[in-house]
Amino acid sequence: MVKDTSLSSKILDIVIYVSLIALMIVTLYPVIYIFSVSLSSSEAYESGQIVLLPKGVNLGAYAVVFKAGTVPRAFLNSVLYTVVYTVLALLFSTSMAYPLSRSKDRVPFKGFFGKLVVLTMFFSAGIVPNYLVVKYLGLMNTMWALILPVMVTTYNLVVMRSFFEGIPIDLEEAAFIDGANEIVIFFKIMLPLAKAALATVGLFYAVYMWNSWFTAMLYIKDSSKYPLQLIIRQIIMQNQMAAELAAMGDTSMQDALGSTNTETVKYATLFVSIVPMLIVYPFIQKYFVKGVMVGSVKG
Amino acid sequence: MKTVEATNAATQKKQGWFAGEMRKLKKNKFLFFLMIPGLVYYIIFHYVPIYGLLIAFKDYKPTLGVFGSPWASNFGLGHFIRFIQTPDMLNYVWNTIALSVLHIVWLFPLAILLALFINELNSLFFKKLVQTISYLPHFVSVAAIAGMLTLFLSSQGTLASAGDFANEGLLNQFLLKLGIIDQGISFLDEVNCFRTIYIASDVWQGIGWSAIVYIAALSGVDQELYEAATIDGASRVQKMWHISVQLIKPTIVILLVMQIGKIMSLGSDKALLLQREVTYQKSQILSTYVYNLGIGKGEFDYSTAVGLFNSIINLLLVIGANFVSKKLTETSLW
Repeated sequence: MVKDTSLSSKILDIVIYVSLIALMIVTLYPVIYIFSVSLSSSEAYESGQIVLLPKGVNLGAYAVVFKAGTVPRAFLNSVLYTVVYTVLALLFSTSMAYPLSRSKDRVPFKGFFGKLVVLTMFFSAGIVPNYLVVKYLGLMNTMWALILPVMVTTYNLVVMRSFFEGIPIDLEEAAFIDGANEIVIFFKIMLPLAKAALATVGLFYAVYMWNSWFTAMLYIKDSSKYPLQLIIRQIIMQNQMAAELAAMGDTSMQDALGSTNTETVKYATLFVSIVPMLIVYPFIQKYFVKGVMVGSVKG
Repeated sequence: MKTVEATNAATQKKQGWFAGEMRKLKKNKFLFFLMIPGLVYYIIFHYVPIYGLLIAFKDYKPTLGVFGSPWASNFGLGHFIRFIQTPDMLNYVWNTIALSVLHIVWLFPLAILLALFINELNSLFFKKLVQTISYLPHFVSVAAIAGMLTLFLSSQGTLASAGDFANEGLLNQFLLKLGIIDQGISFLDEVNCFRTIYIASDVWQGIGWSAIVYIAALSGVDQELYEAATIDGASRVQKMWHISVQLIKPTIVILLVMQIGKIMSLGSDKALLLQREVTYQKSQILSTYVYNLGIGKGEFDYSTAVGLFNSIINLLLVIGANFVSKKLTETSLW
């Protein structure tokens, strides 16, 4: 490209770089600040000394978070829900997306079923009827209340289907000529080719479940089954940790609390909830971008 | 006579369709059975709830079930009439629209601007860095964002003269230290701050992610276009406007129209986490109203009616948006 060295071009460069750097700072600052407070002594926090880096570094807040029991349990719950959900959702979505991607001549009732699915994108019954269905099925207060109602999301189904549609038809025709039947084609040819799509959609599902809290609030009554996102709400917005710590009356907790107050504990809880995403994010980013592109074109 | 014939023809055509599909089924059971689990899911969790919408027209008694419950007053429309007569009804509708519109007004141009800026970068490393960092907040859960906002914006009303800002959130500490405010403000309890907080955090979370589509569209632009314009003496700003923006215009139009179609279907997730009873005047949107009454107070029938009212408007808006999109760009959702 021809290099533009005019003054206006230089000003534009300055505007662009300044605003993009500002954006990055604004994006990262809250996350860094949360981390710094969670590591700082409560005195430093209370006197408002923390600007960017932690002061009076200690792990007291994390000790409290992990000893109090609610957060580790909720963390494990979230892991369990996310794993079970992702596996099942992938199974259901793949098995449905594949036939919907094949030719009308091969798939019985394809048009009808396709319409049935697409309609749900435009009209939903709303939360109360869904709530009643979950209640009648006896799923209340179980993991299945979180998983079953969102087992297939139409958006992900569309992403899967477009992926299968993109596989060249020649491959199948060749296999048919070689005497393979539909079952063999699906398991031996299509599924291995769909690995990238499975990864993308699987990540969509996993992130969705990890971050969801609303259905848990609706359906889970027993706090020992709460996922992590609901616990954050309890601890930060409803100040539950302080109450729990007081109730425990544990002397080791008193020691741990010596250098931390509940505010830094709240920041530590928040950071624990964000950190798994921060760790996996660099690895999954490109799959997500790909998925968004497919979805935005076809969806 | 003619109508009978017409119906006969229609049934025959239908039978023909059904028979045809059945013939395919005989030949090809596998692909059909592959779809069954997904279908069962769709029927139970999407179509049974639609049947459950019947309670919007009934005085729902859990013991009598959906079908057995008596019809609501005024030929079953009692709940709708009650909703329309609710003094705050228009307020809730307005709050919903205001948040959606503000979301579009802020996020849309900013995301486009971000994409244009990223497109102007020469350094591949810096490009990747900006993209990676700006997509990040998309992966932070709404609950965590609400948690952050609660912590950052909290206040115990400490006076600036106190000098000790324990229990003041980040923003209050900052404002107190600079002497901008005399006393800590609990921003989430301020009616007039609700929309700002809601939209600002939307932008923080969504700007990078919303820009992806445009960045991709821009990366496909033929570089020769830019070079030709350079030779013709166009400045970079001119090229941004006359080439880049023009090329992503179809994408912008489609996305904008679709966003406008969703103007009334704002979800309750974030508003529920950020609203306080003192801010209901601005923070109560239709979906939170349905939640607060339906699940919170157990008024299943009435809140289902409100939800149905909302769903029908959403459906009409989406159909309208799709119609407009088809006219403008020949792209449609279905």
